[in-house]
Amino acid sequence: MDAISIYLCVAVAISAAMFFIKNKWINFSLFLPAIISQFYFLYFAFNHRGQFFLYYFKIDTIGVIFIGVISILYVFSVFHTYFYDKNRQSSLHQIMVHNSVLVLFVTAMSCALIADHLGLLWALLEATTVCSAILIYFDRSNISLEAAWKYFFVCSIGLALAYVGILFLGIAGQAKEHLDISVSLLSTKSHELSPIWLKISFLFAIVGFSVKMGAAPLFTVDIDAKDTAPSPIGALFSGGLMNVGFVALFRFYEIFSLTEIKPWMDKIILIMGISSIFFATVYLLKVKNVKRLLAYSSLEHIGIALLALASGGIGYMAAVMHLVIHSFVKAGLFYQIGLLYRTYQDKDIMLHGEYFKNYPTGAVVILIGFLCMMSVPPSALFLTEFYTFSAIFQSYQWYIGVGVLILLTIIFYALTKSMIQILFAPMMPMQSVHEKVQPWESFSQYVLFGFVIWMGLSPAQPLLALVTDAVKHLPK
Amino acid sequence: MTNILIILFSLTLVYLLAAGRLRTYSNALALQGFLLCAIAFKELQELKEVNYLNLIFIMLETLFFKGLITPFFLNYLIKKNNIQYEREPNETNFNALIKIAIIFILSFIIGYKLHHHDFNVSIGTEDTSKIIYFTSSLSAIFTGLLIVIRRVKIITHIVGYLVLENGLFLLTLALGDEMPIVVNLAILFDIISTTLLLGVFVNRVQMTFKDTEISTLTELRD
Repeated sequence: MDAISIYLCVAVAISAAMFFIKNKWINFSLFLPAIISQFYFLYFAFNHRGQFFLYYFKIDTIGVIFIGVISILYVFSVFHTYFYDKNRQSSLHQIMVHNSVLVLFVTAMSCALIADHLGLLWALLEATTVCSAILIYFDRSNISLEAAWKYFFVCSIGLALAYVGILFLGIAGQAKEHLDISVSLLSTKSHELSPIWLKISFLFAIVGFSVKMGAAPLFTVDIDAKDTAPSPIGALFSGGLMNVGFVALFRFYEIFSLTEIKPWMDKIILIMGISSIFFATVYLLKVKNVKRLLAYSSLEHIGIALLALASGGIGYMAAVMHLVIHSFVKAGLFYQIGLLYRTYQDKDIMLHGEYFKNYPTGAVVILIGFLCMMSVPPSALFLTEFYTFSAIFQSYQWYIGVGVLILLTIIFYALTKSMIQILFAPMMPMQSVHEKVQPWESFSQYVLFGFVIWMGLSPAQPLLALVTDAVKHLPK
Repeated sequence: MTNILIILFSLTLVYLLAAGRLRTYSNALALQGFLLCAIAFKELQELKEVNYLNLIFIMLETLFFKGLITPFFLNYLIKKNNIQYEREPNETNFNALIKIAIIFILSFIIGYKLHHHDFNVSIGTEDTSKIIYFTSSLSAIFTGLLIVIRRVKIITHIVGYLVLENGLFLLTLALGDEMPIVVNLAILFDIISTTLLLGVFVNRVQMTFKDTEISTLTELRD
């Protein structure tokens, strides 16, 4: 048995055990072997890049990078899940189902990142959808039921469209030498396939995967999901699942990048990126719910990553790096918003205020987090956005660059307004502080933002080398 | 023979789009399952190298899952939630026929253009067969999407999703033996769990909102 088989078996066994064990402590302590197994898998994947496993998996650098991100966020999410359950006084049944599905969710995401066969990639993405729906429905409230239903249904339809794209690619491959629909094989033979089939395949795939990326056009259910799911899960949606959707699109990009449709494909991605940023701007100006605010900010950042990818050159590196850094920033903010909710018992920004006075440790987190999210130096997002705009201007698309900069300025205004409201505005007379949160619960957020700032001041060479390796086969 | 079965499959789409009774939907889905089973059998049997494991698996998938379990589960949901009819405003059989005719024509044009770029050149038997496959599966996908968009009951949305999945299955058959059994198994597992979970959610929505129409789900907003 190789390491991937062991990883899968351990994950399924732990998940099954969590589903049945009724002792809260034992149930929760099972996360320890699950996390050890996850990090062992990461270590194994890092050391076996470029190799095939179980016929349908191939470990590559971009997969390893994002497995690393998911593994780190997994630890922090489990930490915050413990306090979430304790605070909400969740029932034993809720905890058992939630813990069990969380393990499967992380496993499905990690495996999707290394799936080489496109059919298997689709199946694993659908598995993440099934798990997500159950995780969203954690609270068993009307609103969580509505969000879970909408997310599950629209994701299933979106992924069905992506499957049409995969099948079209299969039909195009079948016309030539009966090609298997695996990324490694198709990326070397794609230039022999009919361009019209490739174009239709790409259109279906990009629309379908947009639901997982949380990008336009199918972004709405993703916003609902991040709003309604528990904060630690919202962090995994923004910091993990979004990246998985991006990698699924990246697989298609890898396959088609050596064909004649590449310029057309770049245009489609560019339109998708611009429309994502546009929708984010419009909604951020009117949104009052702090979790939806973070979700719309994720829509903006995936838009920036797509713009970087479409611009080529240094943009490829910027896209991957942007998503890595964004994952840490957004996860940190989601964890903190969970604590903010405990303080005010409300998600409405207008009902927050004086956070500096009520919880100074958390207020500093909000301040640093929002500045990092808005790409203010020394946040590493400033560097990645700088390189993104360099790539846009270098590809002679200055009008797009200027237009997007205007939209980002509006977003900066909207986010600053909300940040000031939370931190400094006087509290409403009817509002009160419901709970004094312990300062050490914000520890993980400091670690994540510390990394983001460190990467902004002095980018870690090993990570840069990995990112360079991940995009080295794409044409300049 | 395969072509006749595929055309019969297409006719079930007309039936589905015009139907108002929910029992009719489950019956049509069962019929689609049996037809897909027959098509899969004919198609995979004619391959040069028959992979019997894959053949048996696909036969079981269509016969048991698509033909029996899914319609049975739908009937259970219909009975449990006491829903008899789909309520769609201003939909007559004539409208439904016009819509399905447009879907067929559109799918045919797309299929024809993709397989054969020039309308003026005559086509061979193999191409004709591929176009029939393609037109039928694309029609099922469009019909599924139309049902999801136009109908108001949550349970009918599941029917739309299942019709779409059947269209995808037909398109997968056009790939012949290219899909490995492990991948087929993973896909089947996903579709089963999706259908079951959607059903569970229908029950929950009925219990929570005392209604099974999509218009009741409007609490989420900015």
